[in-house]
Amino acid sequence: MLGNRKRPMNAARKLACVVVLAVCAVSLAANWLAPAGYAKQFREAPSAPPSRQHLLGTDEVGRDRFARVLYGTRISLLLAPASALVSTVLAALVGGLAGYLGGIWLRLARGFTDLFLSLPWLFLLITVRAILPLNVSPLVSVLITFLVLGLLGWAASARVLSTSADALRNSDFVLQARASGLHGSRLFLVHVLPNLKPVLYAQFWISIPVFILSEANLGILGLGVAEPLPSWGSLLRELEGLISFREEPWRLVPLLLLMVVMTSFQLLLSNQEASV
Amino acid sequence: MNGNKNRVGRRTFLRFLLPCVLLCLSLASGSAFSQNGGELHGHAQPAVGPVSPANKFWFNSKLKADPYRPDAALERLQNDGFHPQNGALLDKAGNVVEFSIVTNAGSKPRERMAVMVQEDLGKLGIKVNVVPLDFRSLIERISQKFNYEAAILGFRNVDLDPSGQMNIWLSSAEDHAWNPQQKPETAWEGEIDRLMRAQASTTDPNQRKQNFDRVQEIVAEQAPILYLVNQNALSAVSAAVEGANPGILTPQTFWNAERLTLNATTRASR
Repeated sequence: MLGNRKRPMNAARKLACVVVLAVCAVSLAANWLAPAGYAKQFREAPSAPPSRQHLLGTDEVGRDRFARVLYGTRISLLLAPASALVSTVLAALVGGLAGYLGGIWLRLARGFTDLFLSLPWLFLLITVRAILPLNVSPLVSVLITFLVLGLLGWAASARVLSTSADALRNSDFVLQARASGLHGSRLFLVHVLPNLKPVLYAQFWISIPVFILSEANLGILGLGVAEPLPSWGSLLRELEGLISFREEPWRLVPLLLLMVVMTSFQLLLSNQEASV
Repeated sequence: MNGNKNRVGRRTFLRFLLPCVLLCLSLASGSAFSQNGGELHGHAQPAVGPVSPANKFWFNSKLKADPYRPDAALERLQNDGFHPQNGALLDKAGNVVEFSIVTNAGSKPRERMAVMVQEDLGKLGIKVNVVPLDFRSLIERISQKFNYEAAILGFRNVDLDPSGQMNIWLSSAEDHAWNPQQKPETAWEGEIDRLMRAQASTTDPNQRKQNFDRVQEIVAEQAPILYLVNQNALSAVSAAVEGANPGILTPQTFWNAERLTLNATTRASR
């Protein structure tokens, strides 16, 4: 296959990998680490500072911030890859097939992709969310939010994939395969798709932090994951109206966590991109 | 800094299209916002109607806010045929009681209030879905499509006089959102129409007060709107400023801007 060389991970990338895995593991252990739960409101202690009972204090309605950070991390880190998967599959279908078929199909797909990319995605997301049914459970609303992100986020990857598939279609080994009698789906599945895999992987990994940030953007606007479920976006909203970082530094934890995880993803991605 | 706080007629309310559970919900959710600090950090009082107690002449002092009594709420619901089952509240026909509350995304206090209502009603087995929407979509649903079940919004009185609320209480008015754009749908709405017109067409303040007191009583009984809190208005004035006398109406601090001056020490230091 083309572009299958791999480079050994350097120390920074290993550290990044460990950080992402550790954050995932801790968030998955939220049930044990934060038995208070993300929704229970301790009305007698709103906006409380850190204590033994509430390691990161409580939010404005008295919910345990540590529990909300753990559960929010779980939601953001588990569902962003799901969105990335949806968008990568769509990108492979649109971009990969168009690139493989070439001609009018490629031009149509590129035109459609360009049109899609020119849409203001934030307003598109807000519009899509506004027309969704109101009576859905918070869990379903989370799934819908990330599904919508996935369904709207395929265009950039599709452009990359269409270009790669177009290059493969015109490559010598595909020409030889055609000359040997291979056509249609078999040629695509046996020779083209395996060579698109590195690009697909790269697009998948690149999409994850994009979707994490997209959800965070929606959450900051109050349009992300439905209450009482937490996410990094809704947790970052707490920073609104923060008067002094010095007085309440624990409120910065979600922001720091987001920065650390995004940096780790970038370090991992630089390795991934180099291997493509 | 010198602080000064006053109650004002700025109210946040919950609007329902589910009259069957209105009064019980007010028992279950009404007062949580000012107790123990809560979302508004103690700077609010439970509301009882469309007029703040700060508006001493027009406020109907006979009305009292419902205390937080979930047991009483559940009892009243059970008297009306609702019954809890496996942690959920069911109606007579066995349907799970569930509704959504829409509010405008970006308003943290309202979103937090919705979350508190969600938690309080969850204790009765009522499932509440909180849905923040962008403001345009929210207003479209409430005033054009009427496609919602409950909404948390805030009214701000532009006038101390109740005639400033005609756009809400008259059944033909634009902001009469519960039975919108029609003639009086119910007898009590017809009664409010009559009383509001009567108070607006007389100059006798006592007669007007009597009419509007009755309007407030009808609103409290029928609860087309659940009034949640009367927020305090907080004004902060630098110690270097003299002549400040914050009022209860906007602009609270600057209504006497022509009399605000820097004190002698500050002037000398400049």
